Amino acid sequence: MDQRTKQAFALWTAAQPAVSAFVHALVGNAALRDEVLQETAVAVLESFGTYDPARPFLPWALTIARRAAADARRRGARFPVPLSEAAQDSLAAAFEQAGSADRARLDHLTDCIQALPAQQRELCDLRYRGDLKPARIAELMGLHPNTVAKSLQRLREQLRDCIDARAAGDGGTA
Amino acid sequence: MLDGTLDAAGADRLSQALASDPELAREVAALAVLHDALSKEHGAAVIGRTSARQIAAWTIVRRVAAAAAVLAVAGLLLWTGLRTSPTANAGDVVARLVARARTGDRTYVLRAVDEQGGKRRRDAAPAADAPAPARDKQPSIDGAILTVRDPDRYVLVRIDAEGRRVITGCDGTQAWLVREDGAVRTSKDLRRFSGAVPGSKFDLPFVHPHESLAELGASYDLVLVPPAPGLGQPRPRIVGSRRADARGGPRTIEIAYDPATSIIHSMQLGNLPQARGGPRSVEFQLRDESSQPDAFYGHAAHHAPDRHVIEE
Repeated sequence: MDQRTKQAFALWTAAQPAVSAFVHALVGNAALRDEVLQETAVAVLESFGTYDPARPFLPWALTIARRAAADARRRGARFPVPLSEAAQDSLAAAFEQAGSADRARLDHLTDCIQALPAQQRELCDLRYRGDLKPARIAELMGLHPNTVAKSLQRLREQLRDCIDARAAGDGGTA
Repeated sequence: MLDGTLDAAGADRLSQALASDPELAREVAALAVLHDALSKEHGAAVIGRTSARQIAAWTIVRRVAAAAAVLAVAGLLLWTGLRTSPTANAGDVVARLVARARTGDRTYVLRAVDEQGGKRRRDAAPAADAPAPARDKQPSIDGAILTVRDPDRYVLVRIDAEGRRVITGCDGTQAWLVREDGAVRTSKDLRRFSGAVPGSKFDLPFVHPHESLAELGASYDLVLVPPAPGLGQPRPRIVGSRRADARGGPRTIEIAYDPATSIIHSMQLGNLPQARGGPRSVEFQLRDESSQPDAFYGHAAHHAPDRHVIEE
């Protein structure tokens, strides 16, 4: 492996979690995220010769990811209603600013999930292990879809608070 | 946005808000990072940590150890603990269902369900001037009748595009295929004609009740879902989601059962692999549990005695 390829792999490895989260937000499901992410990785490595090392890598990778997601939509992949280009620009900028700060804090995620009450863990399982949408979860749990959507929102906020509290306990930034 | 519940108007409002409010964009980005991490924590992150079998084995060990510890304190506490945890006894229920399924014969009506969740339209009859369908065109699984006793004794009756019956089965010593005309085919390979049976490729224990339960436990995360009579779901269900590191098979399995008798009333295999076509999902509805004579599983019970038989 030559030096340039090693550099490409290293930069991609560091950027991949943020690109993954960005793509996931755009495409709406884990299976499609993986597909788009794979295509992004291939495109990043193939076009790495055009990357300017003087500029930050993440914005460049996010641009390629947006293109890969748009290609998947054109091929007929089932997406949620798309955000405007301006909104995607704003979101990409937010990911660029966040950098890797959030990733270290996510080490606490497993413990925070374990601390959830049983019903919330079940909700978490159905949403994330089963990759089921709120409407389907509502059917399974005998709840209204809006209730499930709000519960999922609360669940994520609760996990974020838990992660913040544990990160603060470690002496990290909350 | 993260759960795919936005309609066009909602997406438009969110787009405008994100474009004009960098703070909101940062908030959404932070939640999106958490959302993605949750997805990986529950799925892809498992890959590389350990194999599905190890997870299943560890889960069993953990449950047994936990149960033993609690039993040492109080049996009543054990009962209460299992009853109040929606996931703790899913494996126990599955074990009971499988044990029950091992006794006697079951006849199911099969329905193909399309992606939108509606019943699939049956293959339309060909137009009068259309060429005859190819001899090997697969008959539809929609409306098929499956009678099963054990992995090696089953009969599946399907109807092809011309309305003719195509029957496949196995009597424990040979597999067979009977069409309304032509030769009857038999094979000593007991799996020879079982490809049409939904779930047969995936070793699902309810289609093949004697197959290993561990296979289901290793490949699927099982959750117990209580009845919801108001939503037309009067029976409890087990919902299984295929683990991220499991290969092949339906993405989800949903089983409605009677907790008093452990009889499975319906089963749905969702998001089946589409590489070879076929329905997206298949639903099994229990029609009856009548006992069948042993001869029912042989090909001779399904055609006239003078039919030519070719052994492959």
